[in-house]
Amino acid sequence: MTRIVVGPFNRVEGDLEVSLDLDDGRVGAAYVNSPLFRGFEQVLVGRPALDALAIVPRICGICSVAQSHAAALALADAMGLAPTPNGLLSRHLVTATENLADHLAHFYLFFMPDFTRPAYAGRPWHAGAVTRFTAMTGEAAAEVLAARTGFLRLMGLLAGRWPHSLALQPGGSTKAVSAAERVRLLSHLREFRSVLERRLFGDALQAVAGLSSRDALLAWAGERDSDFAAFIRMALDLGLDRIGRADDAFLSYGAYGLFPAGSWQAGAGAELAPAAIAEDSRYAWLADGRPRHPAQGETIVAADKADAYTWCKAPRYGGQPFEVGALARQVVAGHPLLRDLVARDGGSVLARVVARLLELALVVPAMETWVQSLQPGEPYCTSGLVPDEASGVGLAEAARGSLGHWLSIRRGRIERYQIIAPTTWNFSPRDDGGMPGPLEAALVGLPAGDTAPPTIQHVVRSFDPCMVCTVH
Amino acid sequence: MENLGCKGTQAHADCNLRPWNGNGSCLRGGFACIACTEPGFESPGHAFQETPKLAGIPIGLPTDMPKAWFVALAALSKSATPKRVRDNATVDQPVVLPAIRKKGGGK
Repeated sequence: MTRIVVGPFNRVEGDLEVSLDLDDGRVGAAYVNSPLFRGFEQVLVGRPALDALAIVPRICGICSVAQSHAAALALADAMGLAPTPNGLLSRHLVTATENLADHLAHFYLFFMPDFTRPAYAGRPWHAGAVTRFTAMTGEAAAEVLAARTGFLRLMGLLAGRWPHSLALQPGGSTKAVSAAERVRLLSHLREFRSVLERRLFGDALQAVAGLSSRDALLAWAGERDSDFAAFIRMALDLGLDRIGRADDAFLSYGAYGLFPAGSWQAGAGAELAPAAIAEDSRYAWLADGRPRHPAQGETIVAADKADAYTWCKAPRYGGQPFEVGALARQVVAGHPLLRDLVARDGGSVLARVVARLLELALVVPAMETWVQSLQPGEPYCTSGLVPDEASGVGLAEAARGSLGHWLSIRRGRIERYQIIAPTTWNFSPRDDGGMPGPLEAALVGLPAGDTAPPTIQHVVRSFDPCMVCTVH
Repeated sequence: MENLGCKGTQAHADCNLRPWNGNGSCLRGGFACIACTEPGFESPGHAFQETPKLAGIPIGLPTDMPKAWFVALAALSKSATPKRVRDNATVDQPVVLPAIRKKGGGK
């Protein structure tokens, strides 16, 4: 048995290293290391409660709005505030803009360039992939970056800027959209929709959103001239529909009032039970202790701990590792296409990528209706006082999955702040019982080593890791 | 905004002249500037969204204003603030719009 280390990974946010124990050129066991410690939870302790809104977005440059959304929800919970109807729509719009921009960037800039690797030079689709998807120089990157920039104008209008906005407040949103701005929002959305329909899907968004089974997806892709269809053909050729399976246990906190919260496992769904969440620090460079619910969680550095191999804690739901992300969100919400893909081959690389693109097709039309429902002249925000003693929970969905903030306030200041980010779930290390995290499980049995095809790369990137959030 | 910790008049930055992605800035987004371009902005010594004041007058000075002028003008402008500005300052969108003042005759 030999051990190899894959990493640092390029085209992921932050630092990631994966150690693989190889048996005969195949992965026997995988250990995922998040090698950077950041300490945001410690930074927050002792600060005035509302300072969290300024600090937590800076955890991450790509999902900063998701962090600020979760903090606003946790503070709203502690303050007993509910957002105004306009504020709620504005929140949906801002978080959806970030999530969809991330999905688009992941597909074109992070995931697809792997198909242009020299290892695939013999494949019939390789030349086409090189022209379209090569990192930096492929023709798709130029088109997509322009579309993404135009789409992010929504963020400029609704949140002032991106990242690190203070627009999402416990009582709603600070930006009151005027009637003229509402028209501009809609026109940016329509431009974005037209790029998606022309280049990414080659079909109307409604048609893509309506695909209801694996067979329907394959028939739809056929010989269609679009990037999504090209991806389906390449992925099937490489068997990406049958690899990358973790434990097929999915968790979602629910998003936009469109996709409900819950869990899904072994073909059956269940209501979300936040009390079942706990974090274990057995293999993290953090002081040991029994697995704790994040409301009682602690982050105490123990950098010299023997056996530890990462800065990431091991979150568990009912004692088990759960996968989060667009696939989990859609499986929990019951989308027939993804339920069918998961029922046949589990949570594969193909299913994860399809779920992200499907969200683009599902959410852009919803955003158009939210914009039309904004009422200029009506309030966007309510205010309230921070109580001296309180605690709150903010559960939100970021592009990469379920994000939770747990805070408690004492004498008006933050006494404890615990964060469980999506990649903490997906790239979790082993827990006290030795149970590996979702990525660690998904890598077992795959070919690896110098002569192996880049299968490992596809699987790791199919989770769209955001390491800086993981280690917050 | 001056009540909510805004440092827009103190930050050395051109955010409002050169908007983010062509159409955004913190102030246009309706929230306070925390002077994130300044070294040490992360520890301002007060809550980010509150303005430290002495006798009702903010202690931070706009970058290009002498202190005596600022104190005099702050007091003067406070007493001369029209109802339109005062009412609009505490809500998220204008509730009193500028109107044409009626002239002469009392008609």
